[in-house]
Amino acid sequence: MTFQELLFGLERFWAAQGCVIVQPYDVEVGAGTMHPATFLRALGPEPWRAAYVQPSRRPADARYGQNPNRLYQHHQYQVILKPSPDAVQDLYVESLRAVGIRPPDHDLRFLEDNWEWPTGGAWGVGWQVLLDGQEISQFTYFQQVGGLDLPLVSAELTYGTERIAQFIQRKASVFDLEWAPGITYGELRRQDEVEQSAHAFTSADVATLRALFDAYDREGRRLLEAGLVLPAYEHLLKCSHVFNLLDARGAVGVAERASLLGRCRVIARGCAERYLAQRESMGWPLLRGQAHVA
Amino acid sequence: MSPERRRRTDTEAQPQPGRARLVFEIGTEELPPSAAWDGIRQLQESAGTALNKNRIDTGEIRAYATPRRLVLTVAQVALRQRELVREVRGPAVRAAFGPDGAPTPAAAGFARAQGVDVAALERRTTPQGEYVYAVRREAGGETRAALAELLPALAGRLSFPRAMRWGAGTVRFARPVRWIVALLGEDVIPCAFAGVEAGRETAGHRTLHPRRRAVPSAQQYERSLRAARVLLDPDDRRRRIEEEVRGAGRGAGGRPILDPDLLDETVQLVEWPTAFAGRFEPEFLSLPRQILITVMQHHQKYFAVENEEGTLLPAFAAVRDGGTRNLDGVREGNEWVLRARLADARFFFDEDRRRPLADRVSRLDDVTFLEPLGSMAAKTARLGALAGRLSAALGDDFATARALSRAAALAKADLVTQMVRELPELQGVVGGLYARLDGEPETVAAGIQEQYLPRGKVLPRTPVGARLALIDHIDTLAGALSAGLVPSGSQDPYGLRRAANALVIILLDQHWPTAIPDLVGFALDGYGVADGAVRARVLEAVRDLVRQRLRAALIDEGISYDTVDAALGAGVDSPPDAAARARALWAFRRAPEFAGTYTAFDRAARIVPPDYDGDVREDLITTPAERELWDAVRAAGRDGRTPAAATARDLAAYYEQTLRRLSALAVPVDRFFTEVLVMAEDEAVRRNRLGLLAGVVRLLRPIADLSRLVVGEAGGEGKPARVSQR
Repeated sequence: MTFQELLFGLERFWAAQGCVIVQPYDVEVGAGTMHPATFLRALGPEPWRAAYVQPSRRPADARYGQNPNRLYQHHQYQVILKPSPDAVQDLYVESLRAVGIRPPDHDLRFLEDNWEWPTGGAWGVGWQVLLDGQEISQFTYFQQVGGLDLPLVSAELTYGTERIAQFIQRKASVFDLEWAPGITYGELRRQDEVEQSAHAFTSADVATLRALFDAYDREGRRLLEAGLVLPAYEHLLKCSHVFNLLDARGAVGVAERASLLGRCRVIARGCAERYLAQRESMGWPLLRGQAHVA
Repeated sequence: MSPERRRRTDTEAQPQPGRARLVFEIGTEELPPSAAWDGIRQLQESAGTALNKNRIDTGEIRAYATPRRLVLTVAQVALRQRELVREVRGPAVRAAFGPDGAPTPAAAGFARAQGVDVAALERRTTPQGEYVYAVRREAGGETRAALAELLPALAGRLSFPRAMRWGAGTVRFARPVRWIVALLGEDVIPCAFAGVEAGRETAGHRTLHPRRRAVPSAQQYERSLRAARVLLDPDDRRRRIEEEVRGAGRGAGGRPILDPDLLDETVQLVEWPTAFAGRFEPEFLSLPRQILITVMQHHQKYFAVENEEGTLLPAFAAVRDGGTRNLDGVREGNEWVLRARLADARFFFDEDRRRPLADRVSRLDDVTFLEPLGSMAAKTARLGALAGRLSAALGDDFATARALSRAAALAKADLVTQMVRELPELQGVVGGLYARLDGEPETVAAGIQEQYLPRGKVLPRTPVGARLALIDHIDTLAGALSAGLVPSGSQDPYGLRRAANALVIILLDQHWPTAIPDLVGFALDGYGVADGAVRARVLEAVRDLVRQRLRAALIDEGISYDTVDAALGAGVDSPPDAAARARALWAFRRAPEFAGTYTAFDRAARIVPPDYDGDVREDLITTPAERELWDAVRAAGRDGRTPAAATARDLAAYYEQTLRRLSALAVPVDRFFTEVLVMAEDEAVRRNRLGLLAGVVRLLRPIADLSRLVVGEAGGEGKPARVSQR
């Protein structure tokens, strides 16, 4: 099974489960959770189901295309089910069958692994899913987002698509994966990795990054005041990415780290609160007229 | 290996007439192993009381857990509750019956109010006299109905450190509840918990039996589970895992290292265990042993395999949750994953070894210690200063002091290695390994390696390790407490209780006389805390944590709580001293002299005001009884200095001797109270007599606060022959 077939398989499976197939977010993010389709939609009483591929940037994990498992950018397959259905684990196991993994032939485990994103005021309880000892997914029941309790708990499934493909194709290096028939992951992406690593570790101009952080932060707050939730949220994502670059560049000291992350947190929480207020003023459209019992 | 090979008597003897077996299964998504063990403990503890309170007679009560279920089974449950007997006291007998023996209006009114016939009133003799009682008996109801209330309440009372909500529900549990089985004999107990109705359908193994399965009766519960590929009893799973892992290790040419924590965890990770052996490339054996074991145990949950000489083999034993189907494929997958992990570890190792550990210290500026407490570089500087002061306090020789100082300088350097970033549980261990490879002295390397101990039952064994661990923990405690980070309830995010526990354990184990106030003072100096009020507050907070830990440890040794409280009431500034006093007092309490001594000191303490500091003037001693007591006090006080006892046992023996020596005061004190009037008219004489008694009290005060003892009541074991006079 090629890498792209794996993505097709997941896409079709979750579409059949009533998920809206949305597209990857076009602002740099470190994880699929930060896509507004998860972070914002997880808030409030409106039901929601979505799935998408999310290219995710982790500057500190960049390895110049030399490490067989680590990438500046990898691809998460993200599913959000709100509220979490009773049979959510069975659905997940079914999705593995859909991509050619027959569970009885393997050792399938749900190992305790709780998740936290302090900057987003978000945490959840769940597992890492292991297949024959390989971590293939993260499975999380959100408990709080933006520092707010959730009236409906979402289940978030995050597939590490490169890992799963490597496991299925038995490729020791991610770059040897067959992306599409006749073309490898390395042929498509290795040069990107080399350049992004050089940028993250040596070339990024620290003064420019700091100026960018300040500008995005300022703009984010201003937009929040103006009640423009999504633009404000995008500026938070920008801040978060710039912070990650600064961090990879080794430019963030102890005291500064706390202060920069604190500034991100303020916008993240502000966005969560404003988003809720906005949806409420719109009459919770996705409730489709059902009463919301607070 | 088939589970039927060794079938336990899971379904005990057939129920007696009028009785049936109860099974209550809370089906969940995969529980964390700690929650599964915790659930067993809580169910086992609470079920008996709850059943008894509901007047339900039972046989054996047992709790079980697998990754997907918490289970209570109760044998021989009476199908009807015991009758309810309610007794209400009425008027006294003499008011209830006239001279002719006929009931008075008072008795009739009482009987009417209680709903019983006046002729049915019973007479009882009580310490207050003879009274009439109304005794009402209500027949017991159906157990099934009572259980329908009791079982959901039991489930609701289970509490977990990290409980969660799911879906649209509001109930909190360790993981989502997905099904419930509640059977009394063949009957379903109609109840619900967390929005799930109880029934007879259980869930089988996730992959081997992914369907529900009906349980015909409670008696056949385990059999049904086994048919659905679930081994209910953790003991059965443990036995099977141990056997199979040993077999797999033998197959790989060695024996598995059966780490007890990993074994406990594995038992709660599988419902149908099957072990297998896998291999890895022998060239990875060039990695240090601890790193190999950590990668296998912590990250992959594999058991490492070693040969007879204790050398690691390029093999592992793993446990799969499932049967033998496609076991070769499972093995191949696991080997593939481990190979990638080991390749990573080797890469990190090679990268890390490009530079000596000492070169990394400068990068500790970028590593946070605790959020408000600055960086690890600052911590390293403080450890350096603390090392010097501790060595001076302990009178260390030059070699030890120098090794400690070097170990403190390098202690945190491994936090900026790739290996520790990847395998954080190896902090310290990696530092020790790298220091050794850098050619640092063995004392330094071992000290670095031991700095995070004690962990479990593993204590620091080297002089430098014990010292480094002590100053690391006291620095954390003093810093966090001075910044106002105080543990509350079950919340201890900065690990302060753990740090205090470590402090106590090390001081006891090393038998160091260094006093807590000195240690806290050294550590606060490191943070530049000069404010006297803050220093006093931190010291009190550390004392509190130390006291809690000491108390728990000593009670754990089997010393009664009031003995412990009495000993700790005389101070905890030196934990080894406090522990010795507690042990000595505990031994002394069971000696024949105890009763008389206790009475003497108790009487004296009751008369002397707590802070009385009057002296004794010989010229005011007038009676022989006073003279005798004064001589006894001076004799007993003569060798009142604590010796520098070499061991904890010596110190406890010293205190026990001291207590026995103080028992010589029992007779003079007794005589004094018999013959002498303490509250004499002449104030000078009165003060002198109080001074004499204060002298008695002062002799014991450094050893124990006897007012904390519970004597002559339940709670204090080793009851004295004579109860104190109150």
